[in-house]
Amino acid sequence: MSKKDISTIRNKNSKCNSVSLGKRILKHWDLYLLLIPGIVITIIFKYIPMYGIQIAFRDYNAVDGFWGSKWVGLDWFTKFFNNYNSSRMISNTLLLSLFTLLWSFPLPIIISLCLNQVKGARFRKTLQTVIYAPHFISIMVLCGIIKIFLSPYGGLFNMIVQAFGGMPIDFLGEPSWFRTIYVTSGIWQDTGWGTILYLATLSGVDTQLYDAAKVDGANKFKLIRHVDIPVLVPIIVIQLIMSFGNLMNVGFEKAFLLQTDLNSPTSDIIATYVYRQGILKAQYSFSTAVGLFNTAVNLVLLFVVNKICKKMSDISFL
Amino acid sequence: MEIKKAGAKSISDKGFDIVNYIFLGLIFLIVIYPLFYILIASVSNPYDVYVGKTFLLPSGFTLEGYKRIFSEKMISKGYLNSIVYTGLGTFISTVLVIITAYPLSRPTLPGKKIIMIFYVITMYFGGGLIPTYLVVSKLHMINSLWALILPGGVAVYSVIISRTFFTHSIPESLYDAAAIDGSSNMRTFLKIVLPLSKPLIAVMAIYAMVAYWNDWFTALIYLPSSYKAPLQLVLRQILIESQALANMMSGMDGGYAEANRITELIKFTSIVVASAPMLIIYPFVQKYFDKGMTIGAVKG
Amino acid sequence: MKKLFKKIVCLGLAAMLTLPLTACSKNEKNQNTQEEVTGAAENQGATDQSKANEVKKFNVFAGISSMSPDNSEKTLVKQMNEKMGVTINWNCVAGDALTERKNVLFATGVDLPDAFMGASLSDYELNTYGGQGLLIPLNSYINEETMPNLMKLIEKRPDLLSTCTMPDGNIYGLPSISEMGFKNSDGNTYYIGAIPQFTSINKKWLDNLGLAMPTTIDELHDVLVAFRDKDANGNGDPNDEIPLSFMYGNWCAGMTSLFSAFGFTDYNDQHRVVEDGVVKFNATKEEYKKAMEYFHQWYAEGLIDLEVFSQDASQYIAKGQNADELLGCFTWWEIPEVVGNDNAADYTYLPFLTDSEGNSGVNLNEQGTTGHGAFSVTNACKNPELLLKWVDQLYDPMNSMQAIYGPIGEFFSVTPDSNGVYTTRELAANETAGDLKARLELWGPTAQLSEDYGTYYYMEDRAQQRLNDLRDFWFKNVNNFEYYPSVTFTVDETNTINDKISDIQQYVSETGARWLTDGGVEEEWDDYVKQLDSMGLQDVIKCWQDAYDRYMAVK
Repeated sequence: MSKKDISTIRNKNSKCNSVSLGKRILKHWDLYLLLIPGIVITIIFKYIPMYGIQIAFRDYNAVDGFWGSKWVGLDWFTKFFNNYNSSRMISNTLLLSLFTLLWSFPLPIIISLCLNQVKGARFRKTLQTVIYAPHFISIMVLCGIIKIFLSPYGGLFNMIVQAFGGMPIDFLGEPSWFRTIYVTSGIWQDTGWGTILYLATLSGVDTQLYDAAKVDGANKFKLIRHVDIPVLVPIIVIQLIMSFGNLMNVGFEKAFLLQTDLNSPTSDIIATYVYRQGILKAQYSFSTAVGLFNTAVNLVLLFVVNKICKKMSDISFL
Repeated sequence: MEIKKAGAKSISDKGFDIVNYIFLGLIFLIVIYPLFYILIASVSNPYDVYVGKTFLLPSGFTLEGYKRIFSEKMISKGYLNSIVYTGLGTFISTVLVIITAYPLSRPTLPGKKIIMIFYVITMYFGGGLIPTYLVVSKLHMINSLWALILPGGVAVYSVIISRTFFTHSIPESLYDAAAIDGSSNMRTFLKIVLPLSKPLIAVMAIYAMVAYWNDWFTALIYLPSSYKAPLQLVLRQILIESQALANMMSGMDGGYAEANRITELIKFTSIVVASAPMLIIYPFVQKYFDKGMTIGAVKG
Repeated sequence: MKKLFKKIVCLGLAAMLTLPLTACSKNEKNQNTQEEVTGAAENQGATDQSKANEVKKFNVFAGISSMSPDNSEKTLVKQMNEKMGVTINWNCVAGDALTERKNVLFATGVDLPDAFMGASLSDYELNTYGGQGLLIPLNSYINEETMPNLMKLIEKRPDLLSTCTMPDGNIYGLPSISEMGFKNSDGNTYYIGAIPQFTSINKKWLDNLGLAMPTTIDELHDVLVAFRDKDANGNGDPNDEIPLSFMYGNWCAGMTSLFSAFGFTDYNDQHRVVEDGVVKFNATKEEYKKAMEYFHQWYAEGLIDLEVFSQDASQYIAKGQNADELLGCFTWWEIPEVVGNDNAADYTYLPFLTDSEGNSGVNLNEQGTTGHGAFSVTNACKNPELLLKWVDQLYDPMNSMQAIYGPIGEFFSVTPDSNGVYTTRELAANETAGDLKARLELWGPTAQLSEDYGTYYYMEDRAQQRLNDLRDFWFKNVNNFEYYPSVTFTVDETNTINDKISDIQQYVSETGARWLTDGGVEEEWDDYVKQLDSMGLQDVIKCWQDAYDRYMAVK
């Protein structure tokens, strides 16, 4: 088949003007069939309940219900922003997320590229299973271990510090250490998990491409640069966009468990604040309002980053 | 142009391999040590663990944690429940993701952008727990298995990844060849694309499997009967959170230290007990995307 | 792959077939419009009583302890069911999952159980949900016919009903009462939690170093310095001793017993205290400022455990139980729990310390003996009378006893002793009473009156010991016997307080922690007080005062 024939067929398939909309829909009827279950479920369980968002602007209670509860407009947002800690919370949340992204995004990529080059199947497979295991450690246990390792009295890290002649450091008491602890433990826990997708993508690479490159005199570095990485780029870009789109969603559990009165200047985030407010009484309205704020920021980031990525690599999530 | 002898490695390749092995070896040690520590902790006296006596070997060896967990009737029930939920959930979820992602990856499908936006909106906007609960309740799904699976909807993140995979990792030439052969959409999907997507399906299945296996919150909300609780929920209820210390009742009755010791021990053993199945299953799924599954389907 | 496919489909089908068909058919959907709710309330005593009488099945949401099985398996429950001809469909939750599920049930208003038992409903919840009609008023059911045991209890404790009556005049939660107390020399009864923080000091170390028991705060300082520098525990290492440890902000392991030298103690986590009928906030007093300044010195000198701000109970206890004793001075509810039975003999109580002139001040913790969140009935219940008859059985002293500790034969020995009193049965080698209790107890409205001890069962040794210690040792230094009572707040007061108190508490904890470690209380004090006022501290104090005044007026 000549290249010309292929492109003709491609054009035939994609030229919007030449075939009418109705005809195209009919042509793809079986694809729509595939889409229906997902759409139906989404409408029932995601769109129908969406009326609940309005409680961000109401003072919800069960008896008055969603439509009857008193309308309070932006009161919850005012309460949130007027809180004496609000700028601290927001900046802590953002910074934690950004640092996590900065340090833990590249690592799974690097490790999967390296793993992919390992010839010994046993070493490779064992390593894979081991690095993915930390993902299953519950956050409670993880924080328990962190506290033990960081203890000024006989904790692993302080033993090392003292071996080098230093004084024991109260890691959990220093606000400046919190982010490092948070990000590093996050890396330990999730890097292995993150390699799964990349390894799967790399496994689909046609070995003929490797052979061709080797014939051209490529060593392993060149292989990685010219074969592996381009294959991963679409997935990497999508993950990057989605990560920015999730930036404000810092979970509360880990920050809560590692938080102490001393490190709260850096460890107090939006989620822990909302949790504290909710202890005395369930605050669905308030947490919905805060959630909306997070969503708004996330959406802006999502679209901005998506646009940048689209310009640079023609990959977008839409 | 040099033509290398098959099997011969250049010096830079050998060097790369050595550095690679060292690098990965270090990673291995760093990752495995805390896991090893947890294993040790699960058979040690927790109070020795917390003073830092168990860095290399157990101290105050005890199997009590395991005995406790396995004598708990609810544990075996929980395991069973989890297996059923996870099995069913993984299957349904993976199917949903794949059948939603594939059409959206076809460039000629009218309305695909709209549908994508339709899905992405649900990632960001949601009515929240209460309205969802009301819908589930109206559908008579409370206390039913389906309440664990359906309200989660379609995993949009997975759809986006899968769609990317279908678009970029399956060569355009394959689609063209199929079109030329006059293959219908379904046939292309089932006979050509799916078999080549084994790595993707494996990954989506793992994501779903782990999500269902670890989920305790959904069961808490929708399954009032304690006999239906999945393993993670059972384990979570066995533990007394540190907040419990603030509850005067536990202090007044005395014996806090003893109860605390047991729950601390169970904390570690429960991790081992709960994660074991996932770790055992992984190697079986792993073979689907390990190196060597190649696409050599396009010829000429 | 095809085989696996088939397997999974079969599994799926099997799962679907085994879905139980209960649950939904029992609970009718509650649409919860305002009309329906008040309409239902009006129909309470009206006709259709005969129809209601036929309902003998109930759905009850119950809190259980983490170690215990589902309530349906408990002997006591089975006995109670049989006696009243009732069957109960239980929805039991433990741990902090309890709060989540409870909140969802109230927030959605559908699928409400007939009753909440042992779910620790707060005043806020009782007021709000009672006010909205989700919980029904129980006033009309508290009579001889429906609840004879409770009536007997009220005869002995006439105040009982008023403590569980909400500001709107209704009773939404049945009372429980727990009187573990002692009669003090002033004739009043005080309860076991009156002083929750017992500070203890390592007597062995004092002897090893030839030191006397300190009586003033400065003397303790010098002792702690010696602990820090010398090899007090005799293992050859002068650096492993921790002079003073506690858990900052904790209710029984906090440091505030040491504040006695500054004239006050601060046991309430909201820093609330009553002096001469005036409700005050401890964390804005001059004395608090002085205490912070003083203890900062201790921290700077390395006398205080670095981990006081971060350790949890497990780490704390782990330090105590170490074979080589590590703790010089610590705080807890009692001694053996932290340091273990082996080390306990080496420790003794540290009396309240005075300042250099011999002055000290000790005020008591708040002591509630009654609660009212243990049992509430919802508007979904079709036959409240029978259900309340059923739960009334718990107020019988024998049943209360078995609910609190465990059934006769399982916790208690099958036959009582020669005095007719039940004792704990023989424990197996690896069992402890606390463990057993945690597995057998039934949470719900129970009554434990002081006269029950020695009549039906004996008080636990530890509890008795603690009461004795309070009376004979700790109460000697108490100079302020006033304590904030179990008041009921109005809905508005609750809203004001809940709105502001968590920020206030957080701010106080954070700044306190910082002052202890880095100092600076002198410079920052005025801004700190101003900040607290701008957070609404005065409004909160006013609410506390108003509720207190109302309570005292009724007395």
